[in-house]
Amino acid sequence: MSRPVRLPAYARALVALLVPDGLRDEIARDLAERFGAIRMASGRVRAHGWLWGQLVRMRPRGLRRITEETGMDGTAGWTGDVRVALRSVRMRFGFSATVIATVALAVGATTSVFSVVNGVLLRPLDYPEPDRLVLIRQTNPDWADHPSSQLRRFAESFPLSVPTFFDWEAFAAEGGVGVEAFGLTSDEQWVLQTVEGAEMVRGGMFTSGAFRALGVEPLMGRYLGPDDDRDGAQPVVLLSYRVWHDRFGSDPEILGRTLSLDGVPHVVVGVMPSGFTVPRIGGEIWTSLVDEERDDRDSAGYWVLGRLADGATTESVQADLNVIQTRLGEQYPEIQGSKRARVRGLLDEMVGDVRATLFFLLAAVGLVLAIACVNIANMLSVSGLARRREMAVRAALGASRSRLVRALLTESAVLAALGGVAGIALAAGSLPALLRILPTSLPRADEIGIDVWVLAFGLFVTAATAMLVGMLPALQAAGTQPRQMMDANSRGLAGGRTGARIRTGLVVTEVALAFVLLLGASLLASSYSRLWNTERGFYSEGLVALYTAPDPVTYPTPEDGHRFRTNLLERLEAIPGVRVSRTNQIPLAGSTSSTTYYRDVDGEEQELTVMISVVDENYFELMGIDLVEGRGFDGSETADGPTVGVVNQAFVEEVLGGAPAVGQWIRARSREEWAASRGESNGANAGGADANGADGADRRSAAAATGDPPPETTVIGVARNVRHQGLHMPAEPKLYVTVPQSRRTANQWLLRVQGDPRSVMDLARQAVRDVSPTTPVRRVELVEERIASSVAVPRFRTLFVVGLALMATVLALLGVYGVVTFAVSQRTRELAVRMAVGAHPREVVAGTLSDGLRLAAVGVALGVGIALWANRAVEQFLYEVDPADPAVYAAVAVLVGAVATAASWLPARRASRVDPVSVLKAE
Amino acid sequence: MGKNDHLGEFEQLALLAVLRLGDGAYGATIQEELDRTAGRSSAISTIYITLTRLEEKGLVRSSMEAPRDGEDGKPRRYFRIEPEGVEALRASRDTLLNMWDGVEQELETT
Repeated sequence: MSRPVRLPAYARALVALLVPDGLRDEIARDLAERFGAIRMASGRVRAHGWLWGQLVRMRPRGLRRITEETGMDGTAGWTGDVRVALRSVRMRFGFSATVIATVALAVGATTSVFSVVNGVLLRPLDYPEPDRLVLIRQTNPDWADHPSSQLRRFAESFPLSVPTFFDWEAFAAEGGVGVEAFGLTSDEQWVLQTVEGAEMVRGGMFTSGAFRALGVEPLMGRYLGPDDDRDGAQPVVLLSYRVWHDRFGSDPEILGRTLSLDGVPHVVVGVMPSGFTVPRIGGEIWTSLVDEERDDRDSAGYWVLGRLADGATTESVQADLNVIQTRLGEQYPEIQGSKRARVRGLLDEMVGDVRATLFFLLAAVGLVLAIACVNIANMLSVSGLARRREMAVRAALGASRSRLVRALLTESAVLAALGGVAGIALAAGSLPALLRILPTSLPRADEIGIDVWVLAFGLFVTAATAMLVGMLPALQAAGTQPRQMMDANSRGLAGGRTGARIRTGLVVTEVALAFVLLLGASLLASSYSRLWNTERGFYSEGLVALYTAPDPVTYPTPEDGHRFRTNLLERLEAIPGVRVSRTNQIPLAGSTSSTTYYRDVDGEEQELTVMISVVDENYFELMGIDLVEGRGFDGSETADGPTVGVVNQAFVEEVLGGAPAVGQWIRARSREEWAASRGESNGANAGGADANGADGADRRSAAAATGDPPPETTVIGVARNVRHQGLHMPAEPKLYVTVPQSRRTANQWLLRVQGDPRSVMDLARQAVRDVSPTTPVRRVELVEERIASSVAVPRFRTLFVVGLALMATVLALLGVYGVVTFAVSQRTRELAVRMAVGAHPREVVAGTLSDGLRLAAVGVALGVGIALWANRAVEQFLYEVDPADPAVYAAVAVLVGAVATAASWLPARRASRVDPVSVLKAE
Repeated sequence: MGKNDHLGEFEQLALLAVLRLGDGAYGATIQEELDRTAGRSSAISTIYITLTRLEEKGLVRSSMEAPRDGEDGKPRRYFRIEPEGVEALRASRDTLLNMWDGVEQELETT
């Protein structure tokens, strides 16, 4: 062949017109080559005649089909398949959009939940070798069955005292404990005095080992060293990067400066790097140990943070520590008696409480994903039937079955991929909203985000979805002969019984899964409603809590504190429409104070653990706590007068065995303590386990020194039970005493507000400022909101599962609708014949509805089976609700039946309106 | 290839043309081969449609390659026969030979 021949212009134009893009160049070149050869051999006329013949015999439709099918339009292989699939997706826009939206919602929801699971549970802690970090505390097996819930909690986890830890540390220094480093930690709040006034700062107190265990180098300066742990050492403080940046303007000269925390000067020795925080405690500043009770073995308030040594495990360290614990138990039988060490991985300790909830939610959202997949598989299967002719044409054109299967798989993969990408985008886009609705108590919430693992998970879920939804239609196509496809009336391509059975099976599965989710949601909702509506024993609406303690620098003595509180009371009462009371612990607000009392029963001394509430005379009336017997306080109680108390119903039942309470007495000290205190020249105060202050302590010890009998508290009334530790915790024996007669301080103020309680929150803050500009307000909040936040996790769990159940219900509704509609469309001729021979439309409707109901019934039966098998998973989250409650099962079954009926209603009506004449004519 | 699938006449011719051309089988040469050897003028579009169908059945394969004589450098779509294609041709020939067996004499004499 010599030089290339050009096609004549007319031929070029016609080729452009008749030959599709993918083949145009190729065919034009073939024609040109042959045209040139014929012209050379046989002359121009023959050549043009030949060319016209070729152009006339060009088969544009045939060529277009082969280019489309093989993706010859510039591409080949799977990219061609994708192109064809995309075209098909575009052509069936409504259908595709439905599928894509369903996938997007399901993948989006699953990915969102996974992003939470990933951030909270899976992502490693941001410290070097985080798996070696452990949290250590004590346990006290003796209290496992104690009637007091607070002591029962302590049985599992009891904080350490400073001397106990130093004993451990000394033992570890001899090589007895498999830790690289460990130290005390406790969370603290301080009043930070600045030139502008005073503010609260949060953080923690540490011994040096805790920072060594974390293993993060400071940005500037040093972290705590062993010298800082010594008694009498200069208190020092480490700043977080944020505090250094925000409050001190990134002052490069910050090291060596002094900060006043609660009036105690602390020297800044270091600044931690940006992003660093202390696990569990968080906060902004971290100090060395400053504790007046550091020598008191009885004053326990610390956890231990440690790093395992090479080769050590939590179990081995626990065993190591129990060696020294046994020794301590022998040495201090009263305090350390049977206490043991408990060592757990830090991450486990941080997230332990929410692990079950998060995996539960992941499982629930997985169910929705499964339902969505089933639904889409069904939709694709039905749409595959509708496309029988298209498949038949492609098969007739030579497309092999494997080719068709590949095309269908590609199509469902394209749909799933589009939906999956949209879903991941949805998850990323809705993340801020999700973070807002997450309970604030969720640990590590700031770690939640879309990282590479979340993306990988989203893609994995998408791929799994594509496989699951594509399989059925592809198998249908694979099992069908082209001739069957061609026959419009044929039940081929799984239009026959097998196909119908598969689709019915899918919908039954879908209904069953939706039933399980609806049931779970109902159980959780009824549990939550019971929890929230539990009789609390007081009115929380319109109640504002104000937490403030007098600044220790300005008000150093108890008398100063008294002056502060008297002034504040005056200011608060001056706010219009507000009544005021105060206490040491507001119910359901998170703080609990218990103490030990004694009483004589038949000459024997009986020890009892009671919760102790210090209240003023307005308390019962303001809280709306009814007195069922006797009277409340009237303000006549004085420090010098006879000590009186009010008990609750639980006290009467559990301590007094139901005997009349008024006139009974209990005492704060055992005979032994009493005798011991008489022996001392200046009686130490040995009443309760905790000591927040000393309103009347010195008066009491003065009484003890003079040789009077131990102070006895006479019961003057019985108050109704109030839930205190949590909505789900039954009331425990409780003693109310008045402010002047208690050594505990009452720094929690209650404001009963007429009208909008929010309106007084700022006024309350202002009142504190007016009394003392240097005293910060720890918190002002609505009691109602506080209670709500205590049940935020169950509420979130419930709302989330209810939302998922609604989604599942809608999907199941669509599924039933789809299958019944398709069944009706397949039976149009049969229905027409029946109506022609006199069947009433009502019978047709009834028949169709019963089809839908049958599906629902089988689905529900299957769902009941699954639910009974799986109800353990939900049991742990239920409050006073039986996970196998037949009433709930029945109600949900009825609901599913109603949904199935609704879903069958439209197709049923359509079926009843079949016009026999036109249908049969068309046949 | 299924038992019931057999080659149509034009399919056989196209396959044979590809086989005869060896490395040099592309649209124009296949058409010329059919014109010359089979003595029939076939439409280029039919050749492409047929070969594409044969490719989907796995009897030939095509690939874009630089032209051997380097006339204008642009790659062309070359066809090559697959072992399955050879097998299909052999089966077709056998069928025809079986059918011819014993009747050739008769054709000669009529």
